[in-house]
Amino acid sequence: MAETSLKRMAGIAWQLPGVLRQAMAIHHGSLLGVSKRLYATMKQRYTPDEALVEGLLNPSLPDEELDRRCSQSTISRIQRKRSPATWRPLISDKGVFYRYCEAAGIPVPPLFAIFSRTTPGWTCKGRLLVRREEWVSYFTKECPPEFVIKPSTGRRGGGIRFLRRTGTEFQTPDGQTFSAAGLYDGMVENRSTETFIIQARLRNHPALEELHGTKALHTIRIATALTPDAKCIVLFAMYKVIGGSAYVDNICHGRTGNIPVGVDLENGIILEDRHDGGNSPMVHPKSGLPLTGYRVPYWREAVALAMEAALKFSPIGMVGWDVAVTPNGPVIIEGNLWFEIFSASDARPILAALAATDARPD
Amino acid sequence: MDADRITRHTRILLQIPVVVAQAVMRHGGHLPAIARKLVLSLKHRYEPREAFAKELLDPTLPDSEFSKHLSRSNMSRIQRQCNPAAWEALLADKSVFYRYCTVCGIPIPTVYATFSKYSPGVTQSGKLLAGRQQWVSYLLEECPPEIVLKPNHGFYGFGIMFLERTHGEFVDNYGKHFRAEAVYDRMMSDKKSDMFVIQERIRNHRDIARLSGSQALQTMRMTTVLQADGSVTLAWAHLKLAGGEHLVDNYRYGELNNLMAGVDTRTGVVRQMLLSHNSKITAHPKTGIPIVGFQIPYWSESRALVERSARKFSPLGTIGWDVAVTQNGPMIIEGNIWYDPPSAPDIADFLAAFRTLIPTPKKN
Repeated sequence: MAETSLKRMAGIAWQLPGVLRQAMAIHHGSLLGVSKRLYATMKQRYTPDEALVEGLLNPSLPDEELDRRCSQSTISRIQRKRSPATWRPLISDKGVFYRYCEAAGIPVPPLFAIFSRTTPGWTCKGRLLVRREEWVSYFTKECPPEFVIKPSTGRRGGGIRFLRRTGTEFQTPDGQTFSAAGLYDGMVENRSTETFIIQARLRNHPALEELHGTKALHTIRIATALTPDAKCIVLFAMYKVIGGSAYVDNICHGRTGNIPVGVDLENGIILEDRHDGGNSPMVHPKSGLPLTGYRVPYWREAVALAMEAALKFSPIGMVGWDVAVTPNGPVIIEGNLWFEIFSASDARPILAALAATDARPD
Repeated sequence: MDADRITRHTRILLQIPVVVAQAVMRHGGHLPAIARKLVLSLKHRYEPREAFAKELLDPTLPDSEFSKHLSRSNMSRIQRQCNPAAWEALLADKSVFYRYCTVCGIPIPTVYATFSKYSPGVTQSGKLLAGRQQWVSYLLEECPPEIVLKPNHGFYGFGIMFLERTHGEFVDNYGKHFRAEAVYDRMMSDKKSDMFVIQERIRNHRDIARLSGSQALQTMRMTTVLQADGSVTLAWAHLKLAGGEHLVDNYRYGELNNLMAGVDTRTGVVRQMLLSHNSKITAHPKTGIPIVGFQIPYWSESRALVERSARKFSPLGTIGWDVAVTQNGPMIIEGNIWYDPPSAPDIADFLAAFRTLIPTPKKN
């Protein structure tokens, strides 16, 4: 048995007791009821942890709910088959991704610089930065006053810093203050990634800013798949609403308090909440404004952009694009190879569309 | 000790007896003197085979000669200090490399299709191909009649096939016939590469073809180094000439009888033959045309091309470009991060190009 399979099984076995205990406490269910559910989810390749955070271990959940969902492992199998391994860094490393997008004419946030812990850094003017003092001078004199620092291989919004320069200091939205040397040292000391990107901070479209009551950038996840006849289809679109005080809109299986809501692909109108059975219109958790029925600005352009990007990244066959709608139109924030199908979506038509567009031998 | 080190040390140990025997045959029977040179070369981080190819095991060579050369291992150290590891992906896989060049507007041979064993392949028009039948019909009906098949991770020209379709069959450069099914099967069963690029076959400028009398595509290795101010230095250039009957121009430690000639980076004129065992040659052994003094066509355009390409691939600090000069101008054939150290008579000028990137480049 492959080492990865053994590791996966060991991980699952390790999770089991804790997950059962938590599920019984959350859903007030019996051990037998929760265990039956757990068994059903594991047959669909959910990990116990994933089934727990997705709320699938509730014994009173109708079986149909399980049928319309899709585990990360199931979708990953399809994603793996549709993306050649050596092409993946084109999307998984943000520095490479943004340089490629810029060269291919795909709108992305302007890239100011790339920092590398072990090699010279790069600035958008072509200059290379080698020493600490050069980076310090870059941050204080050359870099625009508002920017974002992202780890190149970061996931789920981890390690992102939004910064604004005031005088010789840099402030984050939550009030932390850094010197230019502090920013440099922070990147050097961060061992989780080799390179960081420094890029422009984008703003939401004014209509969206009003809806959300926050300046944090919201994105729409638009998942695309290539078809054998050189076309592209959109699998689903989800608006990621920041529910709490976070500055990133990542969902992380609901751990962040952010909420994914479905968007009608035809017209960009936010759909009603499926969890609620569609009985009551959703309202924004922060602004209190109605979400259901809200029409996302620049919708057609956003979908067209995701499809254009998908074709430019062929032969990578499946990508979840995070598209921000800014005052000037849609912009790609990132691409995701291993995107999840959020619980708000019905996975059945998505999987059917993927099966129908699978490039198969005749 | 990590696995890489164990592999390296084992490889070195296995090379020693063969290389010593070869050196004794080439330089005469002074075994202790050759052994001493071998120890010295190991100290300078040369692998035995590399030291032999560079003639460093010659007992008559003064020890000071070592400081004029750079070992492969020390070259890699410099490359690691200049090139972020994650960016290697842009050059390591040829299909990714060609795509990036295409979006950057860098001239390359047209890519007709990318074949992948485990995921659908893609044609120039964006059509996805899966399975034997679709590929066979593509190769027979859609693909242009003359193609080059390159493994995506190939190096030193290994695994490259030159094919021409005639009467529903493919003929390779050795005259061997293949059915389209056999071409597909060959790609599927290749143990070293999961992907292949199917590409246009390029011909050299007539001056270069005449010089070597060969149909092989002969390229120049042009090594660029980015400078801190954003400018690009052409640190080294050499012309790779076909000496034998092979259709690739790689040197491969002299196995293919190909030749390498150092080029003046300012003028594009060949200055000298490289490697001492062919240093006495001044004319091409096959055609008799003088190599030293040969003016490379489209030199200033080639220089401008690699400088522009180097900027597009920044933050990669140093790249060895293989540039083919065709009748219509230069084009990039590939880019190499882990290029071999130049066989320059003196490496000092080459190392000087790294001064602004690495304050003290590591020498032997």
